[in-house]
Amino acid sequence: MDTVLEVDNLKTYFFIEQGVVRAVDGVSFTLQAGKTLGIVGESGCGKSVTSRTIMRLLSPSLARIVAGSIKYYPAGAPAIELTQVDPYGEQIRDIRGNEIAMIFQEPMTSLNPVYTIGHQIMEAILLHQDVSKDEARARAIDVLRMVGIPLPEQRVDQYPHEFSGGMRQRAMIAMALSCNPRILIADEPTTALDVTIEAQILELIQQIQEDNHMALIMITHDLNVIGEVADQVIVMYLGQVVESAPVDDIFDNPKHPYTQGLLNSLPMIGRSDRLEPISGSVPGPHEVPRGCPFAPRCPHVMQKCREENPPSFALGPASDVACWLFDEDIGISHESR
Amino acid sequence: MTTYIIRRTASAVVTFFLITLISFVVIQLPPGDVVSNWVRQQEASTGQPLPPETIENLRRTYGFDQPLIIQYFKWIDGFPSGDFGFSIEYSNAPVADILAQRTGLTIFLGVATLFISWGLAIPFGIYAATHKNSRWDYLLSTLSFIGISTPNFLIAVIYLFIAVFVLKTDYSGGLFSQEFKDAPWSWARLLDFAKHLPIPLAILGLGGMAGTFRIMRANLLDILDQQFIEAARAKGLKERVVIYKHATRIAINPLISRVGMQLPFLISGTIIISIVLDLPTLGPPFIRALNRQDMFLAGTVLMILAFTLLLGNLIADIVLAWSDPRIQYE
Repeated sequence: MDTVLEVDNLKTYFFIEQGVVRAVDGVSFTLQAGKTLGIVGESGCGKSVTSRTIMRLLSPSLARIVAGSIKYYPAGAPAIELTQVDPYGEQIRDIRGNEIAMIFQEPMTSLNPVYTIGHQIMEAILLHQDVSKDEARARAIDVLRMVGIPLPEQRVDQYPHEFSGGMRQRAMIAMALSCNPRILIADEPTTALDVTIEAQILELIQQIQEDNHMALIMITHDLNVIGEVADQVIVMYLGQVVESAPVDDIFDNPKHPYTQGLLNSLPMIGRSDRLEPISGSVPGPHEVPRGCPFAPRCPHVMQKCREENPPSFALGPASDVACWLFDEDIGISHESR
Repeated sequence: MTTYIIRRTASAVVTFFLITLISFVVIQLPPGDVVSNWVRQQEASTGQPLPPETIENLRRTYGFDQPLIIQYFKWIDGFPSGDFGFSIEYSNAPVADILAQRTGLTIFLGVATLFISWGLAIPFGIYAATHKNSRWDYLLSTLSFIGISTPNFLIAVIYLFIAVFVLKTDYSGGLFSQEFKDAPWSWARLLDFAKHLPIPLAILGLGGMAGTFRIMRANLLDILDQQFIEAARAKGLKERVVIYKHATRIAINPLISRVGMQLPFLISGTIIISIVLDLPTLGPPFIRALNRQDMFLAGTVLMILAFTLLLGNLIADIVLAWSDPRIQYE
């Protein structure tokens, strides 16, 4: 399978007046063409910072990549180390919107209110492709039609405020897809939408992904969305990946106590037992505990967890978990649990 | 769009006449009138009381014995032919003659000030917002804070002090040298005018600049935090395009509505500075007319101010409707 993106031990820290916030603290994953990686976690766990680090959208005066690598593999060209490129330079600008595109959480605010939808889509096309204005306009109408916007020839000249929330998210997707990107990063694309629209948008994204053999990173706090679209899932907690596994394993056989906690707090049709919330709350960015970040809230916490952060233990070809329970020296095999 | 402009213009005309009516009445509200002020002055200088018949006669000749509303209509009746009444304070000279040149100079000063303060405040605001918390941002913000909290006339006094006592220049206020004061326009007079202009312009411009700078900086910071700015960057646009095309274009809209409010403020704002710097603007005769209840003169100046306010707002509304597609005309 062709790998398009490889993130290894990525660390993005924010250096602010109050101190250092380790927003992303050792994230690794690989992304294959045509596959979907789900990144799941609570608010503030570093999901969005991860995606913005890949796009190099963070202001260098605020956030710094302190370690790790992000390798992007363009079609038929040598890999590009994205951590090394100038965030305002031409190289990353050629990749943004062209090879790696992104859609955002708030369809209401992610389109510029003073330019028409068509203008904003054409802007990306004219930037990355050698086409005339008329061709770009035709392409804009095409992508609007592709994302299911009725009467695209008329809609193309309308302003964002003339679109509903679901339509705006479709327009956003059209904009992201206008240059046929190889990777699409969707940062909570359906959080602001109601459930019926959410289902439509997810279906649309999946169908386009299939047609274009595009890799997708789906960032969400919603496990139902993950179950719907993801192939591989990474679970993040306080900037770290606590578990990485194929989607079926995450739902059927979650290993990390945090993943288990997330699933236990998930309402599902047919579920009759009480929902069990994870006790405690996510500590603030300056109260991150020593040792395992989840230790203060973990039902299986041991002395070692409070002292030392667990490394990642490989449980299978695509399964890793960062939890001392899976250290053979500790002596608790996972079969016995 | 056309109907929107027509409707806005029509309502501006109605508002304009209401303002002239109200200002005419308000000027007359304090006890006494221009005649009683004049009579008191005459009596003080001659030391003898004027006979009541003379005073009555004066009132009758000027038409002040008639009801206010009739006086008002008599006054506005002359507008189409350029007759704005006469000023008793200025020896019965027509108001139009007293104000003609001063109006031109006042509007010129106001508009020039606007261009200078905007021309500097907007680029500074953009720079400060895009370099938030940098040394230059702190410096500009501090200066603007001082600028906004210092009244213009104080800056004028300080400036005059520096110009005369520290820099030892011969600038002593005014827009013309003594020999050109009442001379007709000529090249020499224009040159003299240009030489006098920078100081009042700098003083007037600085005051307006501070506020505009702060609004521009705050607006742009607000917009730069919006999702669509990140989305524009994620498209691969150059930072310059993101800042100017996507952010500044929107951040500037509130400033357009501000210009409508600022135009009359710049003109009335020149009043006190005009007294300090002895500028031949509308300010000095306006103050004098208000003190003496010289209502035709005061009313006409108020009317000019109202006119610029309405015109400024009208222009701002039209420009805004054109610049911001979210505004509904219907």
